[in-house]
Order: sequence, then C-alpha cells, then structure tokens
Amino acid sequence: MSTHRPSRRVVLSSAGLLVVGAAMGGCGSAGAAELPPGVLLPPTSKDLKTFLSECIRCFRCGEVCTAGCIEFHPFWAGPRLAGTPYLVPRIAGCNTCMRCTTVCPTDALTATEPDEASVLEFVDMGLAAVDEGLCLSHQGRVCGVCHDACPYPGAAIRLESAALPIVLEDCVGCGRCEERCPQVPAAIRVFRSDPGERWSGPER
Amino acid sequence: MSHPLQSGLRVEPGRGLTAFRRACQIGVLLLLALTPVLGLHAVGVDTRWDPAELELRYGPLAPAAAELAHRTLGDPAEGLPGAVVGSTWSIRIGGLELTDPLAAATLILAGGSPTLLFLFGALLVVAVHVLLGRFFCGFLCPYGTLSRLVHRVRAPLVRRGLLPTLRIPAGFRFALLAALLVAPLAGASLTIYALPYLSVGRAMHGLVFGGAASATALVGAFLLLDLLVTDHGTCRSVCPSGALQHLLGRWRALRLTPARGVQCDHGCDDCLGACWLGLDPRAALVDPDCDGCLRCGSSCPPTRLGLLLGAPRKWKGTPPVLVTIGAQRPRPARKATPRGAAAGVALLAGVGLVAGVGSGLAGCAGGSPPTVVAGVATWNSPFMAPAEPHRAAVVRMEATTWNGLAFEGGLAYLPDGDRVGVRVYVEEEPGTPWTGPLRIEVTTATGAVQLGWAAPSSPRSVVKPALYEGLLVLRGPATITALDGPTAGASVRIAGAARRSPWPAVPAGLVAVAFLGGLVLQGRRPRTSP
Repeated sequence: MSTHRPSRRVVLSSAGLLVVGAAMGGCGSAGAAELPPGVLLPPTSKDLKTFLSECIRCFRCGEVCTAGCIEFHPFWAGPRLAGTPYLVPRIAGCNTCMRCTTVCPTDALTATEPDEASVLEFVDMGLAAVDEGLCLSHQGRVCGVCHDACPYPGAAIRLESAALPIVLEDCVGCGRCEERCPQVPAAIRVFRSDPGERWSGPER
Repeated sequence: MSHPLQSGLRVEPGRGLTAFRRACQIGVLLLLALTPVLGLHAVGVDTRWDPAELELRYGPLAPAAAELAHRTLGDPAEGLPGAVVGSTWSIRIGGLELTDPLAAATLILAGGSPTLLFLFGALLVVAVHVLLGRFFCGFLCPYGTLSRLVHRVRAPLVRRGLLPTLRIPAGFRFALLAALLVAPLAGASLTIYALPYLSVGRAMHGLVFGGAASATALVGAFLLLDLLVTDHGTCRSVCPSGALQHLLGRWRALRLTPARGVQCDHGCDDCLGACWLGLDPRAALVDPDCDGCLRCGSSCPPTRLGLLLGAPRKWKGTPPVLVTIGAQRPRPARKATPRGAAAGVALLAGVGLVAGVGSGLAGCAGGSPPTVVAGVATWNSPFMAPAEPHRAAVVRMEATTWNGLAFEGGLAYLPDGDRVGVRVYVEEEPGTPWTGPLRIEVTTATGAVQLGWAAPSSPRSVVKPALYEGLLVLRGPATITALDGPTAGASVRIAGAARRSPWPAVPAGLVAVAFLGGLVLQGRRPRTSP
C-alpha cells in the first residue's frame, strides 16, 4: 500500500504558504494600536499594550456588563484592536459592578470585589478633568450634576462653594460624570491614565 | 490481514450515530442562542426591565429577549453572573472553563500568563482533538452545522452545472494557522478574522446584545464561500482550527475500519461522494482529517465501515495502512471546461474577495463608501446659546473623515482661544446611528489640516444618539469664517463616517492574493489521485 509521501510541489507550496502566512501575521500587526481620547478600557485593565496581549477576544465582559457600557471594536478596527472591549463614557459610564472582572478567563481583567474600598484601590480607568471654560458652575450657573452622578462622591469628587467640581486623587475614571454632564461638549471628561503610572495590578 | 486496531469499542454507522450527531449540533446551537438570553437575564435587572432602557443599552432585540427570560426565570439571583458565560471560543459552564487551544496559544505567544484553570480548559479540548480527531468539526462546531445546511442548497445547483467547484490550495489553512500564531508575537490577534465558529458565536451573541454586525458579515462571507466556490470550502481548506486538529489528530485513537471479514472489491466510489470533508474513506485510517461521522459507512452498499475507538497497538513503525477495501481506482479527472473556467473567474472576482476577508478591504481600497448621512449642527445647549452669542457661531468649512472621505458642512464652534466645538449628527445609513468615536480631519480655508476626535454624546442626556461632539484644537494658521445668522439648523453632510484602520487591508489583501492565486493555479490542472 502507498505510504503517502507529499510531492515536492506540495511541500514547496506549503512552505511558501507558511511564509505568506507568517508575513500576513507580521504585516497585519504592524502599526501601533491607539485609542482616541474619550475611549476607556474596562476596569482593572492595565495599560493598553498589556491589555491587548492578555485579552483573548472572548466577549464575555460585555455579556455580563450591567451598565451596558462595554462595547467591542469591529473587525475593521485592525488586528490589534478588533474584538477587544472599550467603553465611551459619554455614551455610558461604568457603574463599577465589577462583573466583567469576574468572568475574564485571563489576567486582562483582575477579579475584584464590587465594594467601595476594593474599587477605589484597584480600579483606575482614568482620571476625570474639568474644563473650566465649559463647566457651567465655573460660568456662575450652579450645576453639580457630576457630583451627583459620581458613585463615590466625597472620595472621588467634591464640590466647592457654588458647586465648583474638584476631582480628587481617588477618582477611578468610571465616567458617570462625563455621561451625565449637561454641557455640550462635556465639561468634565475622563482621560486614561498613563501606562503603568498609577495602576500596576493588585498584589498576588 | 490482521491489523492493530482489532480491539476497542466499535461504533457502527446508522441512525444511532446520526441522532447523536444531530443532538450534539442542535445542543450547541441552543446553547449559543440561550447563553446571551441568560446573560441578559442576569444583567437586565439593572435596567428594572424597562424596554426602552434595554433597547438603548443593548439593541433592538434585547427587550423581547429580556422579557422572555424574566417571565420564565423570574428575577435573577443577586451577585455573580450566570453559570454559563461565553461562547464557542471560550465558555464557562459552572466552574469549568473550556477554551479553544488557539486562544491559549495566542495568549502565551502574546506574552500573557494563563491561569491554571484556563490552561486546564484548553488541555481538555486538546485531549478531545488528540483522541477523537476532528470530532469538534463534525459534531460540535456551529459553523459546521450551518455549512451542512448551506450544502443542501448548493448540492442540487452543482448537479445542474450552475455552480463550479474550485480547489483551494491545501496549504492555505496551514498558512492561516501560521499567521494566527505569528500575529500575537507582534501584539495583534487575527483569530477574530479567521475562525468561523468564533464569528458564529459572536453573531448569535450580538442578536441579543447588539453590536455584532462585523461578525455577522464574516459568517456571511464564509457561508458564501461554501455556497458558491467549493463544497465545505471553509471547513476543508480555510479554517485554521481544522488545520490544528489535523495536526493534533495525527495519531488519534478514533479510527475508521472496515467491518470485520468484509472485503471491498468493486470500487464503487460511493463513499468518496459521501464524505463531507472530501476525504477518501478507504484511506481515512491514515487521514487525520476524518471526523468520524460515518456517512461513508452508511453509503457503502455491501460493506459497512465502522468506527473503532481504541488505541492502535503500534504507534511507531510503518504507517498503519490497514484498510484494503477495494482496488484503488484513479479518481475520475474533472474536466476543466472553458465555461467552468469563465464562471470560476467571474466568481473569483466577487466571492474570492469577500471570502478572503475582503470586507476589510472595502473601506480602505477606495471602494464605494458605506452610505451617507445627513445631520444637523446646532448649538443649542439648554444652558448656553442665545444669551452668549459671541460663544456660538456656525462656520462653513470642508472636512474629511480620516479615511479620506470628504464632506462639507457647518460646524458650530467656540471662538474661545483656539478651540472649535464640533457637533455633527452621524448615521451610517438612515436609521442606524454610528456609535463609535469618529475621527475628523478639518481642512480650513487656508488649507491647514486639523485632526481631532469627536466622541458620541450620551444618548441619555442629549438629544439624539450618535450626536458627535468634541473639541478640535486648531494648530497653525487657520481662518475660519463665521457666518452671521441663527445658529440652529445648519446642515452637515458626511460621506461614510467610520472608524476604519487601513491595517486590515494588508492581511486581507495577502489572504485574497494567496486565495485567488491558489485558485487560479489549481484550477488549471485537473487533479488525479496518485
């Protein structure tokens, strides 16, 4: 009976295709991944590069998101970003229910309890910043909506007299304030923290 | 002739096996359909089951699904999400994590550290692949099920000569597998483009949760390939998971054997046509692609091929070519008719591009942009506006989206320092607002190009969904002419506004080239079996 032995043509063409495949993988991955400002990563994620290498694009975090804030990059966002989660706080801010962190099968998101102490310690999606040129309270119209929207008022944001918002160190960047800000464009916006600057993962 | 596979659990072809396969396939489809509904049940309580809120957060089908789940199951338990979370790619059932080995491989190659539970789940699947060969493809893969359905449409058309059958180069799926494993080294992931079952899972998830248009498009592209180009082309020649199972299942324990004491001596070739993976069952003992569906056995008139579950006694030495079911007869060479070739070329142009993940090309290669859009630029923040007329004005300027599509329109702006406030209303086509961030290039009258991001404003607090707003910081000399007059009602037209990266064009282009080239080359010479 025949011992099946591939012909030279088959071997060569397979090798060629392997090279093409490797090149495809390489080329497709060229270019840096970037997120525009105003776009955040889910809670407890580390910097973008680490996050993208640890996310296996399983879509689970979006499935359990009670705030409905986690969305996924479409496949035309490129091979780095496609299928990875993001949230735009202006559309929907995170309510820090922390469910996404409990279903993540890898270390991309780290399981965290939803109580205030854990969230304040471990979550750092970004830091809110107030644009005084846009903020209504700074224009002399008492507003304070951002403070009311904040899940951790007093710890993450406080109001000075005449409802001037002051963002505090403990702000986790959930973006509820940006979501609810009545001003257009939003006068308070969340900016992602610099990679590794504040968040380096919980102790293990 | 005695062979080392005499012992073991024997599975005969017949209704029992078919019923088992159907049960597996339907079970998987049901699981995929139910998982997102259960997921919605777990999270919907946060919306207090308000249909409008559900639709706003998740999508048009979410209210119905949530109501169904809520009525059937009542309020969900507090605390942790449901027992079944995930999809074909990675699923948690109770405390068990099941993960595609490719996911584990890409994670490790990308430099991530998998947890033990995660590795265990991946190894379980590897064990299935090693022991049973392509069992996953034939019995579990939801795409395989869809592909079988599509084949029922295709088969009669092929019989009437309406559809060609072209060959995709055999090495193509291995190339894709290689690409899949190389990409994570550079910090990217191609899995989402190449794995049909991943897209099926995502698409079914998106039916309830919304936002899976791209996955649905990919499934459509794969199914078109199967429908128009070749029988089960995706499963046979494209899917990298099939390639992985081919490699892992080389020494699998589940083997095809002939019924004991029966000799195939007439070479009717019936089993050839019966195999959905395009194998020769008479040689399938050594073919790692056999999924053990035993359709060949059912089609065999005198002989009944059977499955033997058991370890071969000889793992080394001569390859266990054990089945001599009949005289090896050369397969009839397919005639390459000019009509077939012409049809092939015509199809290549259309389907090849689509199937080669060509949809990624559409936005980048200058194809017709997804349609257009109308909108309003107004400056009517309830707290601002007419009281402070100097802060609001409507300008006319030309602008382009970052993928080079031009539009002209009015932008409301704040002549406050060097910043311009932008508000545009964007929808991809009427009725379907675009919800991602939008990158806008503004070309002012002096030709200076400004870049900026505009984020969609909140549908809950502002007037319309997909209303973009942002501040563009003007750099360099820019002259903006403010028009007098009311600030409301200026219209903005945007052609094809989308966040598109040019990068998918590169792999998609290579895939398309490799795909087309292979098809053309292989289509020229009709193949004969050795």
